[in-house]
Amino acid sequence: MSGPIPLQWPLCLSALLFTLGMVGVLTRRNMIQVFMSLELMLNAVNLNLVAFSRHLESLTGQVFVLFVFTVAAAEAAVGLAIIIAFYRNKPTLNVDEFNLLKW
Amino acid sequence: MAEHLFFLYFAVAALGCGAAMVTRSNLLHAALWMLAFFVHMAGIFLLLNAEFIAALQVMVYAGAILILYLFVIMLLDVRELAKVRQRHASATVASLIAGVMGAILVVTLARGTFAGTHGSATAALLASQGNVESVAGVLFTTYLLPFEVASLILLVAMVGAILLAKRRL
Repeated sequence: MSGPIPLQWPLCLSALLFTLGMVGVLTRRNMIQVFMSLELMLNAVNLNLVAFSRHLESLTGQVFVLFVFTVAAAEAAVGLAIIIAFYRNKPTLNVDEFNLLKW
Repeated sequence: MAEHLFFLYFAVAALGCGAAMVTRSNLLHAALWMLAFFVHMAGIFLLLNAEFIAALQVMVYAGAILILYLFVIMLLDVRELAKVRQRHASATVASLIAGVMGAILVVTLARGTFAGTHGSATAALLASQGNVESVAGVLFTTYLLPFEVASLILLVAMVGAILLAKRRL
């Protein structure tokens, strides 16, 4: 173990984190926790971008992380507002009961 | 060497915090594990020559987004919500599929070689020029239009969040 951190390390970590987030999104029933798992997946993507930015010696990856931050903030704000609006109509956060638009 | 050890520590801790965050059924505990996860991710960004991203990670994620989550969790009745059975009916199948996907990803990435055209932002240049200055240089020249569009996204999200959460306008 000498020299800089090999590119494979952050890539594997990012893949594991993405899998963890995916398990969360697929298995949790609580809407807020599904959103939290989504943040985990976005963070895994950011890690990939930063790792390749260092590997390819280009700052484009880091600039794109900024855009992912923006979208994540917007997603959190709008998503949580939807949760509050939903909770007002039906006091539950269970994703299985998010079916108001079905008939 | 020390760099590698720190990376391993941050990686294991981030995975542990992420796993705890996904599995806790108490939302407040999950949010606090999410805080620990964000901070450890900031440490990893720091090790990968992305100081500006690391600072933003702490400010935007651990600062703003996490507080938003905590506000919403505290607005809702957490105790009542905890009574709902947490696991999904098809949780085992879903975890299995996700696990297989993760295993394929890890095996492929660990054995892969990655080529590409290298840019000019070498570690030595970043160290002499400063990471924030370098990122700002790219952001405000090449990516100026996307940057402005990003501010528009934030404005739309702000208006949308107020509109959705307000009972009556």
